Amino acid sequence: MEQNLRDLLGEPFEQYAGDNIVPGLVCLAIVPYQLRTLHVVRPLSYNSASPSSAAYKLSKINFEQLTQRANGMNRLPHVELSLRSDEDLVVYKVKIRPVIVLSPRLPEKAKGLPSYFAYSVLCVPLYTLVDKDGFPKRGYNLVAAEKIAALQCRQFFPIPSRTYLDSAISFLRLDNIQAANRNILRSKQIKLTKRWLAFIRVWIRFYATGKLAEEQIPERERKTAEFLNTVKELLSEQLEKSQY
Amino acid sequence: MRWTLPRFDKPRLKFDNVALEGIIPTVLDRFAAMPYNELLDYVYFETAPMKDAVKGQPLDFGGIPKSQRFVDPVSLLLPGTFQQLRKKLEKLEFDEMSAPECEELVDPNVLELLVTIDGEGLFTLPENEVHIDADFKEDLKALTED
Repeated sequence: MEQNLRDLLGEPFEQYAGDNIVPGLVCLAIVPYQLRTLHVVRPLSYNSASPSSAAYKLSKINFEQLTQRANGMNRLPHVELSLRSDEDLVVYKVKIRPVIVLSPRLPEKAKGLPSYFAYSVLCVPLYTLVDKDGFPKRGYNLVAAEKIAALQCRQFFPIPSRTYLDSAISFLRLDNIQAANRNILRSKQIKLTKRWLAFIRVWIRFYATGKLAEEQIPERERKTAEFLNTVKELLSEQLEKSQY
Repeated sequence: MRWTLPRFDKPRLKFDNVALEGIIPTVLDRFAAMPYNELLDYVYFETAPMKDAVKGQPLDFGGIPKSQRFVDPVSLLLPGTFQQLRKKLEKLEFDEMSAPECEELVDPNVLELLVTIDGEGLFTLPENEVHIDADFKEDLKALTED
């Protein structure tokens, strides 16, 4: 019998017919690429009466340069780019991807809460690790893919996604957790099971603190963390043996 | 004269199958505008089965490098170890706390913390309520002193 992650940890997804955006729900969202450069479109004049206000200039900015300039001049990037006060546009490459909602949404109004926080949820994007034919996604290194599947990478968490998504195994990129407005998320009508949501919560704590099974966390959560730690160690051991 | 990659308007393609999305545009980018003779030369002289072709013999496609199939690390576990892990998993309990169904965050303390973090100034975490590692405290101190 060829055992796999789904056999070991159980089916991660279940159907969800509700309309609510709740933690664990799989949705489609706009996810930005991790780029080293960005483009800014700005009008030649901010005075709407000026004829040149209809003309625009496109400039390319390197993030590294921006950070250096911002540090040197003690100015934050949005100030450096004049994004808060002027009608400039940042052009950024994005892709519509499946994401998993991690938190309940923020309310529309609460004391002191800025309006741009309203209806925000935290979500984490899902990427294909192994395609539906059983091969690592094109461009991925096989060894790296196996390491992710063996829970060796703290910033990634594998999820068997066959039958629910267009891949055999997907992985969460915890280094890419983002906020999204609840109204732009499109539900895929599937949701993580309680068990898998608990695994992911434990793994997020591990990602943030570097400690998987620490004593200070509640007992039930600690037991889940200890279990995942055991799985991680056994898989890593087997993978290491198979590579030599 | 050597053929170089020409500039041409790329067709706007939409695929239902995401696996094709990565392959087809790459093939088109490379071959769509290639002159017919160049394309034939490429197929006859540069593809793996044709390099070792023998006249009158079937082509050998075995020399084409194939992607290695992924092996799930779980399949490497001994059956006994696998069963032990399964038993451990069955003993674990997963309650509503690990999968809250609530749609809206209502905890006033969390909301207050968010507002504070979003503010301009520095903020102080409540003593004894939040555990902060000593080395992190040092890092934080160094950051605020910069």
